[in-house]
Amino acid sequence: MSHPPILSLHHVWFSYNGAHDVLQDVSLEVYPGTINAILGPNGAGKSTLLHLILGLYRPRQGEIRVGGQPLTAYSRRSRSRQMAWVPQREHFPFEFRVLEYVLLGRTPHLDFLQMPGPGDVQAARQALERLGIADLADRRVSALSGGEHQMVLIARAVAQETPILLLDEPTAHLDLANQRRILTLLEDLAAQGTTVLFTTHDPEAALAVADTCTLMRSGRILDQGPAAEVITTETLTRTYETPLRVLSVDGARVVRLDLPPRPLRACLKNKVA
Amino acid sequence: MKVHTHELAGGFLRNRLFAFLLLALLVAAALSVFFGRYPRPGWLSPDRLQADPLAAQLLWNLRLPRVTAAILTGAALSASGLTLQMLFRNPLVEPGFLGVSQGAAFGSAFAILYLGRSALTVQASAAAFALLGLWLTYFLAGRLRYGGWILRMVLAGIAVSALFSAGVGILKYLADPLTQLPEITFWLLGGLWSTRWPNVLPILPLTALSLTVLFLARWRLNVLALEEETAFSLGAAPGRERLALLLAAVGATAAVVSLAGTVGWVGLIIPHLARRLVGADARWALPTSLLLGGLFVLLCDNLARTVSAGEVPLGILTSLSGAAAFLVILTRFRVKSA
Repeated sequence: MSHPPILSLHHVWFSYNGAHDVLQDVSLEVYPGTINAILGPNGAGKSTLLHLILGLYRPRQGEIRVGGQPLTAYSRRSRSRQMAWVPQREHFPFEFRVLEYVLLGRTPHLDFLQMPGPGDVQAARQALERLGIADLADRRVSALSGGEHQMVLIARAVAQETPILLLDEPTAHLDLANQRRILTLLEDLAAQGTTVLFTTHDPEAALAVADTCTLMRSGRILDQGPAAEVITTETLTRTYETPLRVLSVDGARVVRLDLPPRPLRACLKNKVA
Repeated sequence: MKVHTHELAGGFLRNRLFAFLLLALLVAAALSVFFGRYPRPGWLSPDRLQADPLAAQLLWNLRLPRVTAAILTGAALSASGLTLQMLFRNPLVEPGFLGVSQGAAFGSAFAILYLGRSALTVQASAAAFALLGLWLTYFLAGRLRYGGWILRMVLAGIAVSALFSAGVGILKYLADPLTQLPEITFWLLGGLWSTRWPNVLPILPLTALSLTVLFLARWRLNVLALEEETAFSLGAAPGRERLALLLAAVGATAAVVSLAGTVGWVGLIIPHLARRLVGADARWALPTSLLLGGLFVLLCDNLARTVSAGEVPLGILTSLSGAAAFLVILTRFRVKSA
């Protein structure tokens, strides 16, 4: 590609306790304005990888570069202007209003003890409007449905106005309509220039929107490249260590659990007949 | 840009509420000075100040420092309560629940017995043991293998508070019944009857500093009330910033506890009330807590010193009204658990 990567990992190793390496020799290149999926089963080290990119932990070995500079060269504040974080879920012990929560995304643009001003309130409102959820502004964050909750988390990250967006399992808890809503939103954000990196254990989510896909298992990368090329029957079966099949239906790819066909139970046969 | 009328109204109402609370506090403070049991229960006529030197003495040297101390106590306990709740991401936390108040009481009693009884050593000892109490609670809660985070913090807090209460019991047993014991007993009941300017002035710097820090950092408090990773991703240094605000909250609590003893429930109930009035955002909830807390303890203390010829301990009154209000909140409103 002609552009240099906006985010890259070079042979990153990481361990929580110094003994067992949760990430082993992970390398990754993410290009501006693309959607990138990290796909793998639970416990593959996907979230840990995002935490490392976020700067929450430091690699034991290897280097992470953001915008051409080593991650360690950034101050906390300048780093928080590069990357925004969307957790899987956020537990709210207090009854913040949606607008108040989204406004927190403006913190990287404020001085240490500065309060957000009218310009920040406007930016927060614009983030809500951009996501089509301006009507939620005055709702309490704890009274949102699962889909709304996820949209509000993303709105807070969008209000942060960073070039890179990191999302941890953004569709994991959502029903189909809300999965579509979130995935469409990621496409819109990428189309407007944001670089998106998200983890998922759902190959369908990666197939639907990702430009590139990285397959992970047990802290290692099994394969990576354009999503359509990487996600195959063979690689998925290896990644999840369970028989899976990637089928082509109407030109799109579909992932299917490879269970043997099952005969109808005897007690139901009469009813069907 | 569309004009959002409800938001303007919200801001307008909040400003009105602040103005009202501030005015109410000032008026209550001014009236409180003239309210008491001299020369007879009820009002002291301002005309009398000219004629009666004793009345003037009483007003300037007894009632004014006491009113100041009551407002400080309420403001500090409420602001600390709100801060601790947000830092621990737990709306049921209160200085008294976390071993902070009992620790401070133990520290004060300890200083009275063994470290000389100067206001400064009593305060320093109260602050040190308040901090120790908090640390113990936090440490224990991390070790408990039972229940969710809220439950573990509360259980650990009960255990640590009981530990310090027992410690105070031992100190009481060892104390000189004529000189030291009355002073210690005072900590346990909580009250302001012995407040004079020489008690109030030394705690002013620490209290004012702590409350100023909390007030200025109220946006950071919102950030720190988020989950660790999210706060970090917004550029915060959660560990360092939590510690700084924790120290400010414990400092303010220890300062007023060293003056007023253990005045319970204020730090739990006032922040709840403030959040009901203006919402969870600390930009509004913190100043509201400060004003409301000052007003609440001032009114309670006015009752404490006027209701009967003897003094009703302030701690009993705040606990009574606080616990009653808490029961109402628990039963009438939804309190979320983790």
